[in-house]
Amino acid sequence: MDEAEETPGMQTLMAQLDSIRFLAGVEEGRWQVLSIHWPYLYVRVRFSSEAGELSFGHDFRLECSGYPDPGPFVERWRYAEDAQHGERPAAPSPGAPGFVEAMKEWGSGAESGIYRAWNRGASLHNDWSRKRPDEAWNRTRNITFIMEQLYALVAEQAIWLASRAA
Amino acid sequence: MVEAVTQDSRGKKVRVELEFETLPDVKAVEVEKNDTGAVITVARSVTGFENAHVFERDGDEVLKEIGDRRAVTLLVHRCRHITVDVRYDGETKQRKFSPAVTVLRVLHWAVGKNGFKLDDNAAAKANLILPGTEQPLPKDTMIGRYAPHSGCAVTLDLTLKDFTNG
Repeated sequence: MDEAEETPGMQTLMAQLDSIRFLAGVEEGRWQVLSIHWPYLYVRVRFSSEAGELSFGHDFRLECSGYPDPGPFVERWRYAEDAQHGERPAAPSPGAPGFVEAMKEWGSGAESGIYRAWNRGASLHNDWSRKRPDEAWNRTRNITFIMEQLYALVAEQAIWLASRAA
Repeated sequence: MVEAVTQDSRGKKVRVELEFETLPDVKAVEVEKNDTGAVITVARSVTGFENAHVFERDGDEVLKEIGDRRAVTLLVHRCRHITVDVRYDGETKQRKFSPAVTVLRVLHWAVGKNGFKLDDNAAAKANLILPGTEQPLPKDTMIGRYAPHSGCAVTLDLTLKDFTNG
């Protein structure tokens, strides 16, 4: 992690990364923290079937300025140990319809990123956060909420890939 | 530091979060690593749960070993299995699950080849919802949280409703 001054947002996030729910996900192999270079959190999310024949993972970058209010700006990522800590890859295609739609290229600047209500960059788009309070971020949520949403997305793509390979 | 958060073994303690059937309260404890008996004791210390089963989140079998991991999420339930009825388009599919299985896994079954065999586009829109409610079930919750021990069963509706567009 960078030697950045610890902000309240960073302290809140770090405490949540040390929560039972988050660490249980790490232990289950569902996600891992790749690095933190504040305000960026880099994670890898992986879905693996119980028998192990099915496994797919994807990286994401979460920009967490002001955390937890507003929530993270989440975008697809390909992590690397370089000065930029990787890059944003091209939008995936083909793939599971839900995965492809969530990961698509849309918008620009502050209104872009993962096309889901829990992403800061999409929450205000089409009044999405009001229409989907079950998927919208609010300051009482925990970072594990975002990880679970990302896990469901990655799982959808994993199952789609497996069905095509069968 | 990230390393401190994700690699810290916190000595020999395993941090455990326990959920109890449909009860709102969540219990968090720390036990010595490999002390499965201590976890079972805590789980069964709640009145009415003296003979309850203890499951690891998303697990099919009852907990056998707590191991030396850093954190784990458990469900304490008096039912060994939950009979899940999913209704869609005038048809009902039924399957027994462990109470600890997540809504996401139930959804994957319901849309898949052993369920309603939805195509990719329909599956991407699918959600499970309790009859008479307005919002889909969170996919990361355990199915036993919606099934009281009195019946060991729950009925869900599979919906393709686009909640985004109201």
